[in-house]
Amino acid sequence: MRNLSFSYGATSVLKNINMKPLPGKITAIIGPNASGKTTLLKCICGILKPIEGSVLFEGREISKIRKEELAKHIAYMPQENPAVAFLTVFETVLLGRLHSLSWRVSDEDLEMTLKTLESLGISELSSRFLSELSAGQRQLVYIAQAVVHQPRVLLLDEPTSNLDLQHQLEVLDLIKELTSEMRITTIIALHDLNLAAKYSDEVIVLNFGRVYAAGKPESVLSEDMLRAVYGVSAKVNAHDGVLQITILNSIRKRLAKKKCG
Amino acid sequence: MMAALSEVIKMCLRVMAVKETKGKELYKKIVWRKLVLVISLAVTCALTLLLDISTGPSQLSLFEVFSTIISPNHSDPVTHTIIWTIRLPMALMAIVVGAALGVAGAEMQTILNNPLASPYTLGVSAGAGFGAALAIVLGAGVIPYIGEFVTSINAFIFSLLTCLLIYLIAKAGRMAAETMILAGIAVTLLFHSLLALLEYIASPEALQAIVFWLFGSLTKATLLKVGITSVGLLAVVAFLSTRVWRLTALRLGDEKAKSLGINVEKLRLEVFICVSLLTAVAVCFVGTIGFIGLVGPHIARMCVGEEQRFFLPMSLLGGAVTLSAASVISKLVVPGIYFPIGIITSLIGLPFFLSIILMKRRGYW
Ligand SMILES: Nc1ncnc2c1ncn2[C@@H]1O[C@H](COP(=O)(O)OP(=O)(O)OP(=O)(O)O)[C@@H](O)[C@H]1O
Ligand SMILES: [Mg+2]
Repeated sequence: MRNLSFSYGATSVLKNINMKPLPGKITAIIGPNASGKTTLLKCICGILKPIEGSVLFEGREISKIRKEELAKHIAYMPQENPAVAFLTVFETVLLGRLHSLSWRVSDEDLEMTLKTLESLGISELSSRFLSELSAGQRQLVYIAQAVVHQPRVLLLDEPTSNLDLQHQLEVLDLIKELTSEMRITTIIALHDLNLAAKYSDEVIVLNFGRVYAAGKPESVLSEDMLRAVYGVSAKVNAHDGVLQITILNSIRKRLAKKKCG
Repeated sequence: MMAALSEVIKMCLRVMAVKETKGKELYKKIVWRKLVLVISLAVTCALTLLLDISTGPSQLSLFEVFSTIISPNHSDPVTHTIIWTIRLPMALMAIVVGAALGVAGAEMQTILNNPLASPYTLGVSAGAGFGAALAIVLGAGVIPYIGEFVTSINAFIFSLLTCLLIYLIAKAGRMAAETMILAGIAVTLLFHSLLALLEYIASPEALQAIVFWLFGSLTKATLLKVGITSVGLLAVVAFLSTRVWRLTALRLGDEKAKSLGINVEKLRLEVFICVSLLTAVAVCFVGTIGFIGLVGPHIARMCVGEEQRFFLPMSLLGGAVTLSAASVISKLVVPGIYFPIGIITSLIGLPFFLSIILMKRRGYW
């Protein structure tokens, strides 16, 4: 990806983004709210067209690749997914394989779907309707939908925002495993910096639509960065090669405090 | 309808033929339940059709009815006329129009992402009514044969215009569910007030013709009209069946659908054009028959969910059964008289409409 810029109408959101995510590696995109993480992912999968710059997939510009063709290789899980749809979990995940579905659903599609449901531990939910699930269960379903696709590029927008501690770890373990086994280029927008430190091979920090820093987690996730980008003071310790970030307190006021009478 | 049925039967056979694996077992469990429901509704549909053919003002025995259908040449001429020019066309028209409205409603709901969308609630029927009334007031209604045809054509044109209007509003309002329903109300009110104006200036004979048209009725059905509507229905269903998975994927939201490689705008437009034509054909022959396009898909959604391979045939059958049953009722309310069927469907449909509105709170839409 090179020199990517994007704007919604007159407000420019992404400015001159350069990145080169690698196959078999997890790239984490972090940054405060409204810094442009979601927008960046949408540009990468071709839903939004950059006003400047381009996104390259295997050396070809994605705007020049046919949409159906591109969709075979890129899976995107949006940040927000519908909660009301009269679809069963199985059907929802099956839809992730849209490119190979026809009136007759092939055995391969069915097996993949089941395998994915099992690997995420939600196969007992198969015949439940989406609206009958908890937010966390639903999130697992949509992760399954992205994974079942067997993409070359996997884009996940805050996949762990509704998950409990154990699920967060398990899901990211699974994604890490898939990423290196299938040599997928995985890009995940994350809020949890500890998870980013533990699972990512590369971290990109977005701030006001610019890349503030990029590189290995150890070099990027620093106390200075946290102060400058997030406005918090924190302690960063290395524990057996994994960073541990302890947030202490906010150092600038973002929200007006309500006066208590 | 036959196409959908044969597709369902084929799927049934395929499901039985395959060997078991775990993924398939799970899928089979989901699919079987739905297949059984679709087939039972198809059987119900056949039964209401038979019931519809065998009820009517002239007391004919079941035997007479069926022998006339099976061997038309060996029957009593009066019975022959009753069956072949009145009962059969009316009963078939109920099925075909019901099916068309069911399909139209289902797909309008899918592309507008709104379970309250239907030809009636969006004002298409009101537009058609105005078109018909305009033709009648301008004098077309009095010319025999051609007059009736002109009325239908004008109704057809006005339903298409209404669809266009709705589409433009939907686009401007970004397809928000509430906007669409309010737009439907606005369109309906617009055509009702224009209609009131026409009724005010119409001659007494024209006024009577307008009122009759607006009631909605199957009594003018002919086998030709049944044929035209069926061709439209078959063409649209064939078209939609090549897009079942993409239409299902629309339920995941536009962004997800786009990331799956679907050209969302194009799909919406194609389907909307199809559905508009189908609605226009259905309403132009029978007048205002409300709520079928709402009840059919509602039944379907409750029974088989929104996976389109089942949602589509189920909505079709749901619409057909409802209108066919309404047709039977319309003959039984006042014995010896064809009670206007539009009044019946409104009475059946209103509770459905209200229940869908109330279900919003329970996460239905
Ligand atoms: N559809 C839109 N139209 C106009 N502006 C938008 C639109 N979507 C997002 N924005 C703006 O673009 C900026 C970046 O938004 P984006 O959704 O990419 O942020 P984000 O980093 O994903 O934030 P979060 O952590 O809250 O998910 C924000 O200022 C937002 O207000
Ligand atoms: Mg976001």
